[in-house]
Amino acid sequence: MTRLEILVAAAAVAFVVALPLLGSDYLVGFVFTTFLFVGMAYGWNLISGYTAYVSFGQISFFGIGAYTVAILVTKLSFGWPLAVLAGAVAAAALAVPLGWAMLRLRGPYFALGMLGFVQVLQMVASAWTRLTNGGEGIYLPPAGSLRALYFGSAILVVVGIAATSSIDRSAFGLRLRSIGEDEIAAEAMGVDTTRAKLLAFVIASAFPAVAGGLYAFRLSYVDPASAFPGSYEVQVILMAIFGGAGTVFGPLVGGVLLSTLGEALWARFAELHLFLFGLIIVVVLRYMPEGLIPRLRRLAASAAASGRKAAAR
Amino acid sequence: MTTSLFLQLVVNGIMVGGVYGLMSLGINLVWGVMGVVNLAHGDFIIAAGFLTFWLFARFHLNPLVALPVGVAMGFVLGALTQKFLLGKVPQDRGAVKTSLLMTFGVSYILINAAQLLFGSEFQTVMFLPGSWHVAGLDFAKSRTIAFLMASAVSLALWAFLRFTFAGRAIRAVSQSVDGASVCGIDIPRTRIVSFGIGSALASAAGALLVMIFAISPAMGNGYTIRSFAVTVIGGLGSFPGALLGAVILGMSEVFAGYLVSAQIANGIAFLLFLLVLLARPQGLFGRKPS
Amino acid sequence: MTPLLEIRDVSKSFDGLRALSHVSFAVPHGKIVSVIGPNGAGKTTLFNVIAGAIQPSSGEVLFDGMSLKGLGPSRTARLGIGRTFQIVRPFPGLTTLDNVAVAALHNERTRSAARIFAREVLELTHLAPFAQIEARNLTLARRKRLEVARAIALRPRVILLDEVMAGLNPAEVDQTIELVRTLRSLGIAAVAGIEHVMQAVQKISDFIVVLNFGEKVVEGAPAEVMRHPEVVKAYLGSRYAGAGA
Repeated sequence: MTRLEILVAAAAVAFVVALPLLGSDYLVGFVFTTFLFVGMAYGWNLISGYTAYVSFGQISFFGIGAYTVAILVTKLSFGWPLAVLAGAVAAAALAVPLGWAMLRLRGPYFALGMLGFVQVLQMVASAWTRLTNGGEGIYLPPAGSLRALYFGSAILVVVGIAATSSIDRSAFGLRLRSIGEDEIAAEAMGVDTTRAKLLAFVIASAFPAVAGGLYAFRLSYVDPASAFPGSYEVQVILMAIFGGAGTVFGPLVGGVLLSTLGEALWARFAELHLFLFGLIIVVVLRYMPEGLIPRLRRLAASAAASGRKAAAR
Repeated sequence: MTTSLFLQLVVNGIMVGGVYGLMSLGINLVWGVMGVVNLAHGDFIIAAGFLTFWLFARFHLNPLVALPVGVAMGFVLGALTQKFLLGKVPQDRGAVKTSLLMTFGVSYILINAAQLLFGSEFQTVMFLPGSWHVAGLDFAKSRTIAFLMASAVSLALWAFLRFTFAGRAIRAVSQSVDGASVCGIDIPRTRIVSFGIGSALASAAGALLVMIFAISPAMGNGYTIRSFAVTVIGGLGSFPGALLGAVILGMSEVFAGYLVSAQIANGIAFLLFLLVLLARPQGLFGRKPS
Repeated sequence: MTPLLEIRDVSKSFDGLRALSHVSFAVPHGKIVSVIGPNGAGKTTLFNVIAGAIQPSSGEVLFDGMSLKGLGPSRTARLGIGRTFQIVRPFPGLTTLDNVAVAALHNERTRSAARIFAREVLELTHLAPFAQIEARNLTLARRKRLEVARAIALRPRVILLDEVMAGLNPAEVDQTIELVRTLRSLGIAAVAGIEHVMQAVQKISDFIVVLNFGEKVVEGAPAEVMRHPEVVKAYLGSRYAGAGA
């Protein structure tokens, strides 16, 4: 790591640690929510950013995380950190057979499949009242303080960055990228695409699950509607694309920028803010589909090139 | 189960299937002609349904008269989406992904617009309560009318594709883009018209649907899944297949709803969708996927 | 000695259309076999069957005596069967180096090791100057060369070259012939599917198999095959069939 990078990282860590001590509850709550979104964006990025299997159903795992936590805490008196981790395990366990079935489908079918799966899970959550209390929902006893949950969300983000960074530089990451570029060619080059995709899918499922678990505690309540919030899916995807899908810091940059924008919009245009979010997705895809970070890189590269040309004259 | 009950369920299933068939025709058109999977399809259906409801509730406008209004709105929105958004996506390897994401964004805009304008509540249009009794079976008036209208619109579509120049241009483009452009067909314009028609068909289905069921803005995705399920069961590119698939789905839902529960019936579309894709991807009559 | 690759009575139909009909031949270790035939003769279908991209309707393919039945393309690639595509499929957004490194991954433990080996392959195929260029920015001739480089990076025993010279000018064809000869020096066998670049066929092949309408018409040494009346008829029409006899 360069000196600048170490400095930036240190400043970020200092900020994160200091916030609960110096910031208001509102601010901590806002950053907490932002971190949840960033974490989820990292998850989406791993499966859909690298392999180009666009999933519109990652929120399924969010709900799994939320319900696992709610059930373990109310029925088995789990402590909250363990419950959240159990949620991640439950999501990963589901992701194995789900991924096996879904990843055999080509791009658009996969997208539709994941979209539909959320519906199915919601239906199960409503119908299986013995486990989930159906529409009435489950009330959670107050768990760790906001500050504790906040640190949980910060850890989620750190894990997201670390995992993505390490995968990005690894052989596994190169395999995923090759699948995203041209899956048939990747297979012809000996890449075991089935295994690689499935692994990415399973790892990706853990992130929304942890976010869902932490969210359940914050809300102290879980029901089918709040556990599978469709608007979260949209926002997460937008953040990942806006920042740059398939990059290491795209989800972070996209998440922070859009979360702040969203908060500002919500403050001024409360009912319209989701509508405006949809508009932003569409505009970004139209004019900057590769995302902010790659676009900035390209600008920097062409600026450097013309700088060299000017210097050579 | 008595015979008459069984027959009643069959009739109900077929009538719902008629509307589902109309929904899926739009999918076949857009997907078959342009290879675009429109994730906003269900939201066009719902938006038109809500428009119809609003015209009925506010102005007491007969929903059958309001149908063309919904259809026109659908056509315009669809054409605009293709012209300014989807049509501008560069046709490289990332095109599929970008199109999916774009239509997902449009879906989101539509849902929220509908919620802003019409609220988040479930609504329906109680236009023709009661039923006709024929041969010992109940033919709910609203369902029957919806079924007949859906059939009429489907027939009109068939005639359009078969006999008009625009319709034949659309079929040409779906078979060979290069061949069509060599014949002087304006490809971008044909695509705009296709997407417009696809959305118009969805809107027609929505306007009819609201007479039969209660809908809420959040149901958009469910109808997107249903429309695709029907297309996948029947096989992409096959109109008779889509109609058959629609009847199969309609009947499965009605029977599941009666025998098990309404919630399970909602999930049937997805289950059939997944099963068909895993076991027989080309559906009943479709082209084998390349 | 068992041949490296044995195509045994392979047939393939697509919805009633016979693409391949009882095709049999063998590829010895380290040799170059050209499969020639007019457009639509079944060459690409044959390659897809050998590579495992599609399964034959009947018959089987044996690799070093082992049946490839039911194995998919990534499995056959790892076993040692490399391939190029008739319409080139580079990874457009990856650099030339990474394009080749992907194929090296199954033999190396890390990305860096794969890249090191990839660099050697690029040197071998004269693509080293383009290592950091994204594949989408390469000319067609270089992309075709990249296809071969990728296949080499698999460390295969045989490479299926599908129309690797189509669309190239004469100078580029000569370079490709050199490349194919390089394969021989590496001990890699090759099956080259070629439609019409005939001067190349004579120069590179150890022997030739002729396909027409999915059937094997004849096989043998280049000189005799090119004079065979059936071959002349297939390419030039029956009017010329008697001419060279």
